[in-house]
Amino acid sequence: MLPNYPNIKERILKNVTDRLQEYISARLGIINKVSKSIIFEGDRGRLERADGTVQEIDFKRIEGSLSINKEDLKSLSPEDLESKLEELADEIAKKQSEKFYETLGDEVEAAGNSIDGKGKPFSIELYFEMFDKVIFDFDPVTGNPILPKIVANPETLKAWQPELDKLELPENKKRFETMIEKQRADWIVRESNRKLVG
Amino acid sequence: MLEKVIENWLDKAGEKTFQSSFCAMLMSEGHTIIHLTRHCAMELGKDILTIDSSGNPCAFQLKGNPGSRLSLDQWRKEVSSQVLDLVTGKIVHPSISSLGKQHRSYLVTNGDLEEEVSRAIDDMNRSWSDQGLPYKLEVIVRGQMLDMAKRLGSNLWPSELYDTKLLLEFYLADGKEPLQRDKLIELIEKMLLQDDSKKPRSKEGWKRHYASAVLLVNIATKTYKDQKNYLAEIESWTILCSMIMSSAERFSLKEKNFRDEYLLAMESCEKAVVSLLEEAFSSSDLIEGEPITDVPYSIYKVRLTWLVSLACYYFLYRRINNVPSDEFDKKLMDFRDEHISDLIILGESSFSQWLIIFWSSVVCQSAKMPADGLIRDLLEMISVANQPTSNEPLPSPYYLIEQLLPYYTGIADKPLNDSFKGSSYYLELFVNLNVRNKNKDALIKLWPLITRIAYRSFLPDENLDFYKFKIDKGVNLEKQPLHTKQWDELLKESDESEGRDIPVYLKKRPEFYLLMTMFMPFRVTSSSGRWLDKQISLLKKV
Repeated sequence: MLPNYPNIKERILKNVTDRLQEYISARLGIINKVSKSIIFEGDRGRLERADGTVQEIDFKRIEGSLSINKEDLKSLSPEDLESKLEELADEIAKKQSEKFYETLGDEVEAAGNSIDGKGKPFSIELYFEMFDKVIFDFDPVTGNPILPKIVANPETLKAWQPELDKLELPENKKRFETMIEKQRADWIVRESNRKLVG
Repeated sequence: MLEKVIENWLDKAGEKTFQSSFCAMLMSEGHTIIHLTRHCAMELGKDILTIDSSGNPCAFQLKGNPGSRLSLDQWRKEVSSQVLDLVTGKIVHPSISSLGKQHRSYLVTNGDLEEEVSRAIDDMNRSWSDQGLPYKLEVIVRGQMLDMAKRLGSNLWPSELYDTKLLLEFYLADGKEPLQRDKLIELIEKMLLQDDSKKPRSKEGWKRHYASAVLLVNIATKTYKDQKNYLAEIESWTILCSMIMSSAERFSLKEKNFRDEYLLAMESCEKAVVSLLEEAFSSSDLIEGEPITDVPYSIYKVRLTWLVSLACYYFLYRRINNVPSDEFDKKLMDFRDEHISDLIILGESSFSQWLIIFWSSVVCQSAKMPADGLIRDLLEMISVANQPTSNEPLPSPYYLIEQLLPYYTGIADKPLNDSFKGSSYYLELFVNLNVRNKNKDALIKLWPLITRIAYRSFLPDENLDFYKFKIDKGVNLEKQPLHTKQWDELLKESDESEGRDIPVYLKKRPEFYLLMTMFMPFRVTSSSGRWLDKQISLLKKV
């Protein structure tokens, strides 16, 4: 065996792995804000909702690879390695995002919560139609709505902005408030149904 | 290499530590163990009573002479009178008295005998023979014990280099830290659960295999024993016993194929429990090790919670096994009541300990924390802590206490990257137990909060995997409670006590399942918890 320092290298590798995880998280954007729950055993999941629907969940494998030629290895600098880690993070984050939105899209479609714009450009009408399909809660202390976030790529959001600015128009403001009050009424009914009876 | 480990262990073991292993060796040679002493009082010179494979009663007295010889001085002052009791004293035990035979008597030492001692024993035997008396003292010394141990151990243990390395790591461990459970599980799983060429071909062969596993655990945990790290010992025997039952179910063995070895392991476990509790009772401050980081950083409270829950476990163990109530039970319950207000909950993994405390209060009410109030408080705690908007949810029971301590004490390198809010593994069981304890008002008040938390559980594909620390195949279930629930429906659900997810042999041993939950808190489901609660409810109240 040639001279080596396995314990030190293991600690370095752990640092490298932690950094890779940070790079992936940084690239996931809003997906990062979704709560993560670690699964310690088993090979699948099942979700039984309060409305009686059951969803079977297959675990999906997401992986990326980092390869370095033997010839390049000798001249590999820490900066080169960081650069490769960032490429790997790009690959994994991309796959994770794609899988996330694919699954989200499938579930939304199955729940009947998707809207088909039929090729028309985004409009304030579509905006209100979207919000109509979303259920949101209210802060029980302040009474303020806990509004959902719109997720879109920056170019799309930029294109939508002129329509979104129309929310400031009096008729749209009133429409928005009416929608909020309807949601509040639904929320109050939902909350009042949380009870043990009999 | 394995043989060297065995030899090294034998040359360092005291008689208390080699008793269990010697029993395993006797079992592997066809003996049925009838009785073991607890080394608290000599029972007429007999440490172990057995019936050998030919039906002869046998009595053994153990003497620890690690790395040395039994001297003439020791023989005269200490041993010879005990040997007289050993050989000539009648064995009063129904299993042996009924045989109507004179027992064979053995002096067992892990050292050697000085020549003068051998001569003294020869003289004694010749004298009895000349008088026509049926007495004879036989001797088992180091060399013979080593051969027995090697036949049982190194022939049957996992012998790949990696496994030898694991065993050595154990053997050379510090012994003061918590048990290196992953390594122990790996060693024992290879011996008992993996299908390979070393597995016994016959069901009877399994008895020898289990006895060998007992020897393995004894040797692997030597340094923990040396340090009197009783909690590590207790955990190691718990792991072995669960693996024994797991393999018995997997390979379709009957009770008789493992019962004796299981009882031998549980005997060692019980000794460690009693030793730990006795140390706790006699401690003036219950502080261990470096003191200034003990109390301010809650290590003290974690220790207290272990001790109180173990006291409650042992109290319940004695009730389930119909041990007559005595002063020791009062000590156990007094200890509980003295410290019950100073305990801690780090995460859902603490709940298995608290359930045992609750169940002890069901059987012997705690004035400070009555059972119905305690279970109500636990329900309220998890209902509030694990709300979807909570900033400090309780971590899941997969995070054991020593994994949570770095986060709790502020020394973790980075925050825990796992989300626990909006779900709980214990909430459904706490709801059921509160229903059973007639805490309807509390349930009505907390129901809106309860409906925001999903009931989580894990269902293995194969029931007999329930014993394992980690199961590869199974479903992670998340169930959202109904917003509006009928009380009658909840009553019916809470009444269910079949325990269908509990494996067969574990169901016959509720006292063991209680112990198992302390080290595997993620193996409590609402179904198995209701079943346990039912078993406890059948015990006579004290």
